[in-house]
Amino acid sequence: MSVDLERIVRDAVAQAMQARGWAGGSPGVTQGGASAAMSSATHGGAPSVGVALLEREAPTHVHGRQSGSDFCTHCGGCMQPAVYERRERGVPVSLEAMIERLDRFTELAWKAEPQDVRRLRQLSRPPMGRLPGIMYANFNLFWLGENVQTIRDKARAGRMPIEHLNEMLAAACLRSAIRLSKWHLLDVIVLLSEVVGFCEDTGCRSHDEMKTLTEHLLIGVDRVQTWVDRMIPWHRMDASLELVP
Amino acid sequence: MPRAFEILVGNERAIFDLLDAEAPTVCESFVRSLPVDSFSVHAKFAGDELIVMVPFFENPENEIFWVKPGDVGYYPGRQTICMFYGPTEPFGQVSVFARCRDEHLPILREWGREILTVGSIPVVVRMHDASAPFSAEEVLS
Repeated sequence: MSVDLERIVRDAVAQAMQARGWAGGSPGVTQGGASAAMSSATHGGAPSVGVALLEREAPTHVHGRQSGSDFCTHCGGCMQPAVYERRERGVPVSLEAMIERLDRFTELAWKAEPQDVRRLRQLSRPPMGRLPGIMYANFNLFWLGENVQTIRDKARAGRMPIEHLNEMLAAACLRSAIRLSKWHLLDVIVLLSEVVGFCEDTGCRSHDEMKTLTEHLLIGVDRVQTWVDRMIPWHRMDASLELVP
Repeated sequence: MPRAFEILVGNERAIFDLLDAEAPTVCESFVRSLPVDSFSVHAKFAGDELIVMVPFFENPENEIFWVKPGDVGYYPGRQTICMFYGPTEPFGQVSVFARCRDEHLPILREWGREILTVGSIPVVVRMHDASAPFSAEEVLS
């Protein structure tokens, strides 16, 4: 099965932009014309619309996109998600290759707050702002870990046929990836999509292999979850909690 | 002398003796994973407990529910080590594999208070080198 998760995320972002009038040009045209021109000029992807400002005058034409950032940071007029292309890489064709990718991911996510989490800090959605997204991302990642733990336990027990475990892991990762796309955790969902591809195309050949795969996956995704959990001010939240009667 | 590891937070250090006899497999996997740069957060449901994620996976061993202050457990469910420094309300079993030296327990309490006040703290976990001149007592005196 081929699932383009990056496309799912991008489509979700485009829909949200459209809903908020950031794409398609309407606010830009009616409020002076700059925003719409910027969307089509440099951020890429937005449809061309009638604009009151020539493309060459748009600030993003000068600024360009900020590599690795969601937003242009040079001015307040370019609040469009930046889209950058990843180099295509195929589905890992062996367990060793899959584990190598998982370990590389863990290595990068271990040392410093991952880009996904930095982006999550900026994610604010109406009407309640940043907190719901961060809490949901935290528990979506937490339950991904719990589900993978369950599959590891089944692999350890060795009673369930290995092809069923491959299918279960693929399904759990796909479901989580789609859910995590709500919070734009792009690096995690790309990793999960690779696990999905591996399980469906090649798959683990034994229970020991499945146990190994799930353990490497768990350390990677759980590390991201700890970074998300870490930024939640648990120590202050209860003090200010006022439950709705 | 038992094998020992240490956790550094800034200029402070707490030393823990490994329980190689009680949890040999967890101890060995833990030692192989060191040194580790990580951060410590506080338990949410279990009382006076500090938590640090570590990059290894091991099966349960020497599982204990009613832990004591100073016990250090490995929790495979989240690949974390759990350091109990005061009264706890156990939330699940952990594989107890090390014990904080009594004289360093106050340091854990201090770290716990700090996390509950300002949030997580960066830590370094590494094997203890007894010949190293650094000691927590010197820093604290």
